[in-house]
Amino acid sequence: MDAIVQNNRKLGGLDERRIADAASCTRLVNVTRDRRTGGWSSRIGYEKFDPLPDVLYAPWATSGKCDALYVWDRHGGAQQWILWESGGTLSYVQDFAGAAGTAVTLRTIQSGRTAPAPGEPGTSFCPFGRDLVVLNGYDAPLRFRGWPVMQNNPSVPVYPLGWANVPAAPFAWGVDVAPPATSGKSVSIVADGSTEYGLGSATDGALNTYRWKVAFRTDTGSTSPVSAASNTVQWVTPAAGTYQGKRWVAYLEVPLGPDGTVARDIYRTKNLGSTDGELADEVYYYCGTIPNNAEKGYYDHWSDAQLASEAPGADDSVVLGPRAACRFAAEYDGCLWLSGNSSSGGRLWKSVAGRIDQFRALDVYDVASRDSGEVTGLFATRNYLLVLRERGIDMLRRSSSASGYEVWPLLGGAGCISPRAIAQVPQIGVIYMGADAAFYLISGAVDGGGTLSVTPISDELCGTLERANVSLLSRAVACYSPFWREFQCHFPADGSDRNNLGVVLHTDVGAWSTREGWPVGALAVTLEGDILFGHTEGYTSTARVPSGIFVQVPRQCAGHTVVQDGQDYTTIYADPLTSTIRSAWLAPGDAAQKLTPLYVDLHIETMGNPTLALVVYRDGNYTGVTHPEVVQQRADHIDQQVYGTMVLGSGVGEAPMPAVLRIAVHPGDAEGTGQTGGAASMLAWEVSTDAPFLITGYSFAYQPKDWTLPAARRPQ
Amino acid sequence: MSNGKFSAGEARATGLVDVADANRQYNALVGRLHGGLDRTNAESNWINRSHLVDYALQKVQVTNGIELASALQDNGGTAEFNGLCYDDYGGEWYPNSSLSLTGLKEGMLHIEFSSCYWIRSVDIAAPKAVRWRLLWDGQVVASTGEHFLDYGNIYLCADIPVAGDGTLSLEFSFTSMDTTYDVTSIPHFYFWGGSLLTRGVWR
Repeated sequence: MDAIVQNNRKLGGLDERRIADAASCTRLVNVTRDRRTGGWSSRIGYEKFDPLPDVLYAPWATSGKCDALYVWDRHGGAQQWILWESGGTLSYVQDFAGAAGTAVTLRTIQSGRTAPAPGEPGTSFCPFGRDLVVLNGYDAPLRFRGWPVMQNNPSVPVYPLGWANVPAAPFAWGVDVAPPATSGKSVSIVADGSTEYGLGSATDGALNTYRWKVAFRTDTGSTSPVSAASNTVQWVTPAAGTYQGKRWVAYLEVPLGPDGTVARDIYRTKNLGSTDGELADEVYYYCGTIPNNAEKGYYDHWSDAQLASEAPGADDSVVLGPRAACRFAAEYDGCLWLSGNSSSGGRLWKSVAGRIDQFRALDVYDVASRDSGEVTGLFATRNYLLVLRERGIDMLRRSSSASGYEVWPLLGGAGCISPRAIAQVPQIGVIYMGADAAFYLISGAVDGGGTLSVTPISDELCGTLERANVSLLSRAVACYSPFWREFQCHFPADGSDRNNLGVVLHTDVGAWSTREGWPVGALAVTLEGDILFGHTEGYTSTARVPSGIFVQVPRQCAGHTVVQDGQDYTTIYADPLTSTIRSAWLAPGDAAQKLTPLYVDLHIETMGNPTLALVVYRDGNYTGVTHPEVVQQRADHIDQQVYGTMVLGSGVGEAPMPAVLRIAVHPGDAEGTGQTGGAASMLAWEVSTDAPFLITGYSFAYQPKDWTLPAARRPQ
Repeated sequence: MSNGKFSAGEARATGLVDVADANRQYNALVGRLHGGLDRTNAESNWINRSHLVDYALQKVQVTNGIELASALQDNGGTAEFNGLCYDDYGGEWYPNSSLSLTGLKEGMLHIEFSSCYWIRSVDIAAPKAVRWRLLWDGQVVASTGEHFLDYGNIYLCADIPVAGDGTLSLEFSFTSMDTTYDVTSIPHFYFWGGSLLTRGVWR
């Protein structure tokens, strides 16, 4: 009977379902998509962030596992802040200062932070204008400004977010109209006789009464809550003598604000006269600003006629309060949105637009009314804010309601507990890992007649995702790289408490693959598209072990190995990762029909003399027949020149060429059922190697046999 | 690789002598030098101090002690101090100092000059004033108005495009002599403590 050839010129992605396309793969591990040929390349690996061999893993030599990693780019990449958190210490990577030869260092932003429990996602980051908001649900949230960095004075520009306390009331000195003062703090400064300057009434014998308040302002333009009222200052306008009918200047001791305060606003009552009523009934007006956070005194010389703007109300700015324990933040509609921690998990707070430190008392939104659980993350995209919850996905956007915003349920019954496993993918939408360890795509639009949809997209990964440790999905991390054209997610699997398995969606073709052996504790992407990750183990008690930040590169190496040379230690590139491609189970024709495989043609791009060994599996067996290795050269042409054979100065550079490796399938020792060789009803081939390869497709030739499966056996 | 610091390719033993693979790593590095490194974009993640030679991005020079030109320092025979006398100066712009700047590349030159001065006020009917100006290769790049106070500070600042080396000059102009009120043999003007900062930033 003639041979039958089945061509799959374009190898597809991973599909673990039993009924799958013939061009798909049942295993696709540690590969990347080659854009030019559309094939799967094994040329991928990771290396340490600082490539110098003699620094080993510095500055992370004693850093444990990475709890959080974030890359914050500003000014088109001219400033790039890589934030790293491990063991309760948040730092940024500094590799730009110092004299020649200065190594990469870590500068501490804050130490003594609460380290996340295994089931917690850890610190989250939200860029907002010139600040990066850092929060973890336990420690007070921070604003990291990044710049300026003082070379000689190692101060890090980090400030508290919002205000933890209401400013202390100012202290007003007394006004002594008959100096010298007899006792206590008082001033005796007469103002000009015009109505523009001076406090108090010009009427002889009038009683004058004043109080003051103060509020702080930060460099974000935010205004703090207004302080309590100061002590009361009273005096009687002189009815005779030198100062008859004169107005006076008051003096205040003004408290200093917390770090980040750039100005302090002073508010004052108008002359309360003899009506010393309830403080709550008093109206305060803006009367001046101290444009710094250093001066402790303020001379108030403005008359009542100059006061016009009323002070902010008590609700216009409040202390952080419950917001201090917020876990997640997002920037949406020009405001900073915060979500609560486990004790207030159904609340969202919104800052004043453009002022991330200022929150109004009534700008709170309760999303807990629906039975979708706590808020587990926030993600702003397009013109709405995704509110991730334990058992649902909500959407918040602007509306004409009294509050200005509405919360709509987008998806019920299935939520997201992996706030760091969500990414925006261009031209596709938002991909996130659901609480059921499946991936979902949010695409479409809500305006202009569009339709917003949530679609599961990981049916092909049914086998791999079953291994996910759903109790620890909060540790999952994901990112999208425009350079690699990959959405990748790493999560704990097989009962592990650390991320130890990754899946990659190659967005060019919508195909999945997996990553094994990658110690990804946290993921981040630079502006250029480099994928950085923090090591999932790091230093424990053994010296010179891999730790710190690593980068995904097109070099086949699984990090580095430390070697000793006398008294010195250096790093060399470690052995390559093993890349695996296993085809789909091929069962052409009648499922019971036996067939004899003849050969497998691998469509490759030549790589020179690195060898490939084909393994053929039959009828679902776990082990296959390993065939002799073959070089990746064209069989019917002279070999391309490789390293070791080319003569420098006379050789010609090569380029990979399309070629077909025809590998005859070994018939095996027997043709019976259940043996490693011989005929079969289903066949699959596999290449698993640490050699470089680029496989674009394959052809499979077989010959149907004239006998079929025997009848099913009865129990013995 | 995208940023030139990380690996962009790999030459494997027994593998092809792949031209594209070799070029990728080299081009990433060179491309980074061309596009990722300039006076506004010395990206913090790519280079550190060890990668730079001195004056790779900019050059700074501070010249202190600039004062009234020695040729004009005269006590007139009687005064206890030196200064500008009308028997040495008749008016208009006087080239007081000149500084030749070398090692400049195409880019921007930032210039700052500060000093303090003294003027003798003889009579309100004959007020005295002084003006300053900075010139780059003969072109005025910064100038002040007239300063009338007896003691004062002046400050000039300019940012100019430059194509290479050149000469920076400082000139002043003092009120010319009033024949009714002024005497030729006493000092009328002096300036001292001049500090000139020049900073060339390459394109």
